[in-house]
Amino acid sequence: MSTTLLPVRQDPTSAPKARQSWILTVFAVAFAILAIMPAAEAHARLSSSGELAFYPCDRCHPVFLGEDGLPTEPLPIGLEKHEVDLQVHDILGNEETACLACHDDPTRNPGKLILPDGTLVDIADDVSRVCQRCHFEKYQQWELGIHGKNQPKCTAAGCHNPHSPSWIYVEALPPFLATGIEVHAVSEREPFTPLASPPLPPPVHTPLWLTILTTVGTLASASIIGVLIVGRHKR
Amino acid sequence: MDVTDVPATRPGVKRLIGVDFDLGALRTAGPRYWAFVTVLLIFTTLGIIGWIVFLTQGAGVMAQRDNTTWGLWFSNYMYYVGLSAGGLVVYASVHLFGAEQFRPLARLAVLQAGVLVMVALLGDLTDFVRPWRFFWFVVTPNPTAIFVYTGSAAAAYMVLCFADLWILITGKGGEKLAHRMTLIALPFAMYLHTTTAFVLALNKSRELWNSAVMVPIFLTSATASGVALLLICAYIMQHFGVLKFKKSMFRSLATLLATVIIIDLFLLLAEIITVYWPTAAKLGHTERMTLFFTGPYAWMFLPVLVLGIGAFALLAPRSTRHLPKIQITASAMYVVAIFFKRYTLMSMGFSIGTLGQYETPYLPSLVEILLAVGLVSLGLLFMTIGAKVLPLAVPEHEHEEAHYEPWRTELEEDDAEEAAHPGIVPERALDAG
Amino acid sequence: MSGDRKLRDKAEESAPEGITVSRRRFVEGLGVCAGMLAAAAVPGLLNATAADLAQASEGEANTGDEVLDSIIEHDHAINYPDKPVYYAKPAGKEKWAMVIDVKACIGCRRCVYACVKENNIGRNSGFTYIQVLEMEPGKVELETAELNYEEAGRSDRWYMPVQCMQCADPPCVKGCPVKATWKEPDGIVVIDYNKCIACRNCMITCPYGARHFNWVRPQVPASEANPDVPLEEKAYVVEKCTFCVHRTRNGETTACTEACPVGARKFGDLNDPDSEVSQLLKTRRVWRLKEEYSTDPMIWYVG
Repeated sequence: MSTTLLPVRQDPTSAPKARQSWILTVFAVAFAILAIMPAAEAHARLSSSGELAFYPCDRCHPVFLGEDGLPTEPLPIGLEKHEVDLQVHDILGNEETACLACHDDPTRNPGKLILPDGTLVDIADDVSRVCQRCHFEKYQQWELGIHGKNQPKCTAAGCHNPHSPSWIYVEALPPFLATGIEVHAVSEREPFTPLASPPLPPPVHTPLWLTILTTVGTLASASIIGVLIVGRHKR
Repeated sequence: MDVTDVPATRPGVKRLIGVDFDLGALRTAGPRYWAFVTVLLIFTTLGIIGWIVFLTQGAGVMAQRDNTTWGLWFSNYMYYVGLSAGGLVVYASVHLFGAEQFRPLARLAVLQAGVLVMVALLGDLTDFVRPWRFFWFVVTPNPTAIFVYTGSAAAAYMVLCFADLWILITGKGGEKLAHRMTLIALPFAMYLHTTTAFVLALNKSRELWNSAVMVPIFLTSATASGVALLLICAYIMQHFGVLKFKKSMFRSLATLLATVIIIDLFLLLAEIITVYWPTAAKLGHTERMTLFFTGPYAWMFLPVLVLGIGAFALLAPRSTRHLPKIQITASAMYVVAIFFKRYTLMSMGFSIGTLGQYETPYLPSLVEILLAVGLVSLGLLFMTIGAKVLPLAVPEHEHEEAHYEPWRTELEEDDAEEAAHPGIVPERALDAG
Repeated sequence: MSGDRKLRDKAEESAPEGITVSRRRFVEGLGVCAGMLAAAAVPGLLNATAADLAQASEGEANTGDEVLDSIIEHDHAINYPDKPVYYAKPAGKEKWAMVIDVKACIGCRRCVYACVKENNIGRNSGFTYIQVLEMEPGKVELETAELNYEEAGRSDRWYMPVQCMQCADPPCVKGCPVKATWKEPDGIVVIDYNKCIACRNCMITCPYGARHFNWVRPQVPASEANPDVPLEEKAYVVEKCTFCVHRTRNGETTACTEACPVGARKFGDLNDPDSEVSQLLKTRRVWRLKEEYSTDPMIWYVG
């Protein structure tokens, strides 16, 4: 995935280690919930067709837990490690100002999203309130249950990639008559293989004995008629 | 062997319900007759076996599937009903229009009409997986469903035809009753075939069929093919010595046939123009009609046009219209053409479904073919046995009871003209009148 | 009456030569025919009139909303009394309808297969109640639509699921010769499997190809059979989508609505002004398939 380098903004004052580890823990917990554990149990119920559609946060934020239960790699803080591709949402601003449309200044509140009135929203909370800023009609429909109904009733980020929003992720199931289920994540705006079209009509079954009987009868009749015609000429 | 009215005292003749059944004629029938009957019995038996297979193994033995919903049984129903109604037109014209030249055909025409509509109804019955559910037609019929009208009309028409035949043979009620029966039978035949056309036409969901011109096309095709079949039937009866007809009668039939054929072709042309004309063309309709010319059954529809126009071309010239070869060929061509027409009309209607999807073409399965052939054999069996057993010739005194017609002289002049042509074998006249 | 006969004979004698029937006799005969046909038609007309009267009384709607009321009033029930659906509760006061968002539909066919599993459609029967069409953009043209598409989610096509529309004016109900199919008061068109004579006329008259015939005995794996829905009774008769009548009359929603992963289907009660379908019909620009046939379908498309 291509990334754009965002301007680095150094934190002039180094945070005390306790505060840093607290943030790290928050991140770790958040990512553990979102990325490592089966998301179904944490947030969502299964839809009735048995599979789950979810935006994998671990596409950008791979997290590997060490033996101590903490992430083995340092999680990105601030903006220096972030290289995020913005599509569609790049209209929100020029380069870093686009990020600030939704994310709070990470120097102040890393890992938080911000609403126009200053309210902070943690990414583990109802992130959709941030989307509501622009997509208020869709948010209202989602609240009513009209939009994205019967999906895991989690946040908008659960279905849509907030950085490059497009089609949601749908996992393809195999053709109707096959056994076993394979799960593939499907990338956005690409065709996928749906469930198979209706099965073919049932074949016509004619009993073999009927075919034989018909052949015998037809040959007998043909020979009789042949004799009738030929015999006539002889007269 | 001349067949005339036989007195009841002749051996081998049984009188039942007032009709003299000449069973003795069966005993004296030759081996060729029985060989033919055997062939018919073979196919009828195969048809019955096919029907039993259908009843026991379910509808899967038919080739009809979800989107090709109706099959050979329905196109045959339309076809036989048409043939039946058409033959009756000839007979009815005797009484309604005073076309006395057709009177010798009277009993044969009515017998043919009755047998054909019986075969049509049996074809309907063979489509029922559970035939006993048929009684719901009588208990809760739906007045907006056209099937109710066509089914009841066919049943009533069959009864009417056989009753008419009985009246003709027994002579009960004389000319007046026969005349009145015609006044009922002919409109009923028209009504029957109109409702049959409506079964296809009154469906807004099927663009190809939803046209008012279906009704007149059906009526003209029916009349023409019925007349053609009657002509062939009459020739066959004459060939085997069962009946004797005048050449002038055949010529009149041929003229009638030519007239109706050209009307039929004209109506078809009108429909085609309406569908394809630039200011009238709709994609759904043109796509479906184009299948007639380029689709999987084009090989069956193009002959309809070729045979139809060819039949008319054969019959059009007045100088050759009297030739039996011409008449029989044209009639056979047209009978086959109308069968193809009914079949392609039905299957092309299904070729593109209601959701615009192309369906695989429908070809009847073996069981369906057996049923169709079995029913045809059954009909032929009725006609073959009826030819021997029933008194089909119209006796002399009935001719005399008819009113005087001035055009008899014209016909006799025609006969003399034909006799003057070389190559014509002069015929013994049936009566001297 | 001998007097009449004399007159008749005299008319015949004075008739022009060559004509065997007098005008009087001909007109008499026509009158007899017309009378017979009229007599035969009277019971049919009476039947139709009764049905119309029943329809008129069912047509009252009172949601207080003009748009909804006019839609509901068109959906008069064509009832054949005393015929409850034996595997579902009796109809309530609802008027079921569905709205399908074709902007959201991605053609994944999950609704198709959820329906197959829910309604015991034979796995060997060769049809499904729901057919999803892949449409060309910019038009609603069925002749260029593709049913058996192998790739879904294409951005240059749009997807339209089609199923029984539970029309307010259903041609299938009117075309069934034995009244084996009818419209329940809550809008669902149902079939009596014990009465269907398998003439398949309803399949011919349906403009949406929504009715299907079981040419073979439907087979469903025992582990997947739904006990709430008939299976054996459907052999060699017609079946179709019933808006999951056994579920919707129990307060649930249809299987297809539940299965849609993008929420493209909205199912609800038109008599309830707060239901999603009512709201959508009031606030969005909706359209229906084959509107020109005036069958008044109860499935709208939006998007």
